[in-house]
Amino acid sequence: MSVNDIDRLKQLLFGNEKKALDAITRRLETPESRTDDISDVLPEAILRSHAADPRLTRALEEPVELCIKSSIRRDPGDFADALFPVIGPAIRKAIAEALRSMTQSLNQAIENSFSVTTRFKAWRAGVPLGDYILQRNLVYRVEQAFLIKREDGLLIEHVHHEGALSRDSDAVSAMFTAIQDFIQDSFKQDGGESLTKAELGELSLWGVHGPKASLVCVVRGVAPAGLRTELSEILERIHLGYSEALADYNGSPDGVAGIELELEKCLLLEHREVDDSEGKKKPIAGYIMLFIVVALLAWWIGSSYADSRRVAKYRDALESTPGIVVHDITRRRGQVHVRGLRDPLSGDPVEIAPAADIDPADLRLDFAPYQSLDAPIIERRARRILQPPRGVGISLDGSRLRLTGSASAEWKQKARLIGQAIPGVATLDFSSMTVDDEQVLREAIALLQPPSSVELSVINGRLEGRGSAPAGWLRRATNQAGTLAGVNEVVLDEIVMTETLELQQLLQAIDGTSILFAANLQLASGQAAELERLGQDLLRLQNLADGLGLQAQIVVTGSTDGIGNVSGNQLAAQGRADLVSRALIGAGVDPALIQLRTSVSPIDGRADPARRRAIIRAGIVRN
Amino acid sequence: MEAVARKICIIGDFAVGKTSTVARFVHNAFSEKYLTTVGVKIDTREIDTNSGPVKLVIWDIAGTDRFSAIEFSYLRGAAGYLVVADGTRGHTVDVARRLRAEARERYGEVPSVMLVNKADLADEWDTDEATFDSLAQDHAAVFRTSAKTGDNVENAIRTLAEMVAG
Repeated sequence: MSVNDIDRLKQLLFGNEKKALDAITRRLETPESRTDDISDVLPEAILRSHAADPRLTRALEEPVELCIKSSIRRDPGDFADALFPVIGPAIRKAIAEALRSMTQSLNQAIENSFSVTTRFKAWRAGVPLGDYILQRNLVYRVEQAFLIKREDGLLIEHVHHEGALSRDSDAVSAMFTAIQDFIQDSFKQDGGESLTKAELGELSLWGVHGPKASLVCVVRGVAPAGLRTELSEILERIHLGYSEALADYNGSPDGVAGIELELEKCLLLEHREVDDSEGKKKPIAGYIMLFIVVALLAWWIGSSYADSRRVAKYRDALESTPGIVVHDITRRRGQVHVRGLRDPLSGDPVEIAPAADIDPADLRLDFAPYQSLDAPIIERRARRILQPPRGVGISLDGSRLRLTGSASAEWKQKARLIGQAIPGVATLDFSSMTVDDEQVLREAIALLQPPSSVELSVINGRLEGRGSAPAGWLRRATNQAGTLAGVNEVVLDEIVMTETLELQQLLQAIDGTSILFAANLQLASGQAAELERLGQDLLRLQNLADGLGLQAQIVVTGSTDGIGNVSGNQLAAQGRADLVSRALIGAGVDPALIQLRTSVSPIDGRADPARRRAIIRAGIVRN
Repeated sequence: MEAVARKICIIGDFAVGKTSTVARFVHNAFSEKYLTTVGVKIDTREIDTNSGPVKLVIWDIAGTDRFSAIEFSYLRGAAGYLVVADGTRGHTVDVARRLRAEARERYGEVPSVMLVNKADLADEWDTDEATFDSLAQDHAAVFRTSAKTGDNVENAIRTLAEMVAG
């Protein structure tokens, strides 16, 4: 089988499939056909995707938002035009809501002053009494209405009552546009505002303006402000229904089909005097009624004014009170509502009220607490926190708290610590303050508890001591006195330690004491007791010296008289010194402190009992 | 058959006879005092054209040698201009040419007819044929008119009416 045969076979077997495959391939490779395909299914795809899954909405949020922003930046006018029929009603609704409460107040005032008949008629008419009375007194008629193309001042449509004076309406329309342009150019450079009202005698021109057309009405009589709302609604309906026709209007004498019907609704806006016969029958009653209304209104206005003055006076009083900040003060349903901030240390807002002729029972206070930085409040706060003793003065100079008078050092120290933390106080000034010495002395005695032999004194913060005291107390007192508040110098040098005195007395008593011997090493009569007492004194001396950081020195010198021989006497002297030394050591004296000496008298044959002795010398040396 | 309304503006220098030229050919709806107060006066004129009746709402703009913002606002939306100059004062032709150019720059191409006034004082003209030729390039038509005799005024207005009526 040749190649051509194979091709023919392929053509016979797969010809149709190949054509379909080629068509699909061409379709996929051609951007235009793909665009057509997608455009066919895109709306349905978006609908299905949106219904099944919110992701599409989220994905489109940002690009759509960017598109809108870009479009507004490029030409805000298109958006303003598109929103015009929506924005007007929304704004009117908001304003109407705001005015509703005011109207209610007016209604309440008026309702108290009209006859039962009038009130019945108002009820029957289904309107508030205030509106009913207003309607009875306003008489007006919309005589002509011009719908004018904003761009060129051409008259799109003109309707009027029969008999209403009308000049060349095209010229009037153009002239109104020219005058409006003139006023805009003269007084409003940006041209964003338009002429809305002009009055001449009993006629007035009411203009409302849309993006493509203006509606100008000639009104005879006194029309209520609400007429503007009704005219605006008519113009909005015209824009809503005929937006493109308005834009395309080119001066056709037929105007825009259908607009005339809308415009004629302007001519229905009128109010005639109702129930004339009633007015003619009872003119006097009408005047009395009018007088009552005027009088009540005058009374209401007068009392409202006086009350507003009282509230204003109360507000002034509050605002001049340190520590009180008023955000809002209003009179509602006979009560004065005050909102603001109040420091707990400020004056009482209730107590201030009578001075402004406000009954405290009428007050409704809503004060949030706060810390005021008014100077009087900072001073009060400082007094409350520091609790100064009698005789201490506190005053504020800027943010510096100045303290004067005399107080204990302890209070002063406390004030120094906590005073810094008082809100509104940056620094404390104690320069004009003195410390109470007597108080400091009492605190020093209480702390140190000196023995009766010590006399303490405090002069200008200098603590001095005199007299004598145990070394331990003196050491403790020296350490503790420095911690006393209000003490700036401690002088305890003049207090003599009692141990030193006793040491001196013992030294005087011990030094030179002799222990007499009868013969050789035998103690003379009564000397054993003396030796025992000497031992106790030396032991005491040793201990006292130790306590004072000193060391006792004891020298025991054995001696002989002039009989005997030198060597024998030398031994005797040595023996006497040893005997005394051992007795002292036996009493507890430290052997290291004892030095032994001998003193042998010349052999002269004279017996002298006074020289047969051991003499004790005692001294003190520093360690 | 009711007329189609068209806004027409008359522009030109001071005292070239704009108002007096058209006065007898239009319906004077308002007093001339508007010209000195608001700076514009509205007249109307209804004309039968080949396209049907047209009502010209004519904005007679106070004389000026250069448009201010307010005068530009008066020009807004105009379907045609009647441009007027004084043939005895050549510089008013230059002013007319400049005003036409300013209007074109602001509002684009709008049909216009040129009226060179005071044809009754032709001996005193200081405007030559070359000037007329150049004016013809700027306007659909150029007319030598006379406010005093009314010569050519009707023709000029009708010419413009034909152009804007369609």
